[in-house]
Amino acid sequence: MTATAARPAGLRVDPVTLTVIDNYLATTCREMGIAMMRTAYSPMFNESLDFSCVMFDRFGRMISQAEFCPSQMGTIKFTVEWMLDELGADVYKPGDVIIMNDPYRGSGHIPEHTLLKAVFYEGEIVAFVANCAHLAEPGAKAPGGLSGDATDIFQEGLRLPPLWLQREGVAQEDIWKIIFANHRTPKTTHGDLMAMVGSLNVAERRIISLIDRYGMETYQDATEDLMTIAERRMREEIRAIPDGEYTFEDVIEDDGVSDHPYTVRVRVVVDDDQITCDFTGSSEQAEGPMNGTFAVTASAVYNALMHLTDPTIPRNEGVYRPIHTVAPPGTIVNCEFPAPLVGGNTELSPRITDVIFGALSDAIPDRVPASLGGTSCCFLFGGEHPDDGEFYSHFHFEGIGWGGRPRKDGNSQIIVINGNCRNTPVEVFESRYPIRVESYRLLEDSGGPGLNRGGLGIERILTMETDSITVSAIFNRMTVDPFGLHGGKPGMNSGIYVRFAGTQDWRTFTDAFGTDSPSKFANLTLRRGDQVKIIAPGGGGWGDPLQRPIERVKADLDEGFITPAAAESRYGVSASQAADGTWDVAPAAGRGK
Amino acid sequence: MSGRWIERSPMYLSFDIYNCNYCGKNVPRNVWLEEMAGETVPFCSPDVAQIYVRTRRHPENLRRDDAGDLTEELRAVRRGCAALRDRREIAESK
Repeated sequence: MTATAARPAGLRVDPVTLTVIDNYLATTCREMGIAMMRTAYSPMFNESLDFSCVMFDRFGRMISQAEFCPSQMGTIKFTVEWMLDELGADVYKPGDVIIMNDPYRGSGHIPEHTLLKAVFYEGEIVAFVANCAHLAEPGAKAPGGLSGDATDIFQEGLRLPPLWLQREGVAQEDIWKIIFANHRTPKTTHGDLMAMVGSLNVAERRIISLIDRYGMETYQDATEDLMTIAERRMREEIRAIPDGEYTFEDVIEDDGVSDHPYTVRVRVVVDDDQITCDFTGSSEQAEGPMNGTFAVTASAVYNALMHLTDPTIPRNEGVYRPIHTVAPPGTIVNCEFPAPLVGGNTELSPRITDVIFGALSDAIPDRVPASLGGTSCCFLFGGEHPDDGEFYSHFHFEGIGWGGRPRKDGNSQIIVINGNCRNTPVEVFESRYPIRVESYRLLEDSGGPGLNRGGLGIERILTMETDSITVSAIFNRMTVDPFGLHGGKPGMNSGIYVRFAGTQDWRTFTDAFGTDSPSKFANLTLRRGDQVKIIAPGGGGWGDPLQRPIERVKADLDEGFITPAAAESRYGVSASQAADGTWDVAPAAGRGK
Repeated sequence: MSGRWIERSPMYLSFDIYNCNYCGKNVPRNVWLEEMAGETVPFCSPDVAQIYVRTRRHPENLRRDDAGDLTEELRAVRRGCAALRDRREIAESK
């Protein structure tokens, strides 16, 4: 029996079939991700899930994605467009796989490699499938690739223009050899890239199977309709935002090379059913690696607006059509070659979402959260493993507090908004790398006070269990607060500190090593017994903390999320601990109930 | 004003990148090069180049009060920007 339903105006496929095909495509993207997660070698893939899987039609328009890294899903649109435009439309053969990671051709930053494969049906290209993944080792000056003191792109790793990794199913060994010769961990790179190739093969089979089932015409009409629906629905969402110009600015506190802040300024222009985020007036591009390319900035714009609109809208080319970005060349939001930029995708990207949230906070106050912690807390390390003498390299990012929301507290210890990833499990630190996790805990009082409190950051202490290990970092929000909204207070700042073996004091890396920046540095050597303390920031609060119901303050005390001192000074609540450990609370003078 | 379309070829010995001087987007292949005060400036399209010149984005107009309304300006850019054209339309028009 075949289900049929009336077609909405302007659509070619009935809604039941459309829904089935939309879910089939999104599920295929998820299946691509599962294939990568289960077959890759590095924890970046199988634990951190730092990858995204996307499908495009034969013209290079995105037709589906799933719940992967927002920053990658935005940039991959530009990456694939560039690959198709640079190489041309007619150069692909069945079994070809193209690789590219060049940020000046649309990639987010060098560690993120995109693989692309054309899908053929009866001799014609019917789709392109692609994935983008963060390789733990891209051959940069620092193990792990995020060199916090890089001054040009050439220090950030091996830059690949669009190249054939595989031709008609045959590996192009010359290309593989170049990559292996430049990465510190070639076996891991090989395993991860092959996992990406396998993921593309999964998608290829699924698309062919879909066309076998429904026929070419229905497949093509359905993908066209899904883009139309997504565009219509996004335009409706934008139309619900009051027309106007909304401005906001925040800063990147330093760039790892010089110590002055860089302004990120946005003017959001809502015009009926279209929206433009204009970054004119942002600072000139940074000397250090905190820059973003146009693709990074546009991707962050998409990410911010996806967070503020209906999450059930199909995610394809259509949702992007009414969203526009103006990012003047030569600025921190659109740097020019050969500026360094590896930190832009981890640190600038959340700052862009933050300023868009800030700009729209009065226009749609019921939807916009306060600032999240706003840093990926990038901690990288590598060296020769004491167990087997092989080189290892890893990129660890930490969860942060997210901003208080109009109706809820912010989430605690969640990876930064551009990531949607997971951090490195303690077991992985201790089984794969010569590092012991001494402690790992939510940090009390780190969430910005508010009617709805900011989420909590964390504290993690790591002990080095090898005679020599190279560490690097890129953090932000170490001196500039995650902002609150509507009377909410800022979240706690981030931090990264070192304590040498046999000593008592935690020191900044600037104090201990003379780095230009306390939060961005590369290639420092730690010894056995040295410790690193990571402080992940809290989110900003939303609304007046003196309006927070007293029972919610008590609950925070009972959970250990706030201290009694903070209850009194920030929420106006006096607290005394009962014999059973619970808290008795009462409003202090001047506070409402 | 004068300018010309060029088709950027993938250069590997000199890496020429063209960002539209208005919106900043990297233009992979078809670039409009406008001659401005002795300099060659890239844009997505000649329409966008004209908008750039007559609005306050142009350095000479920074202090002009009559440089125009931003919402209207962005509407004109959306109408004239080649980079915003649907990729299927572009492919089928060739």
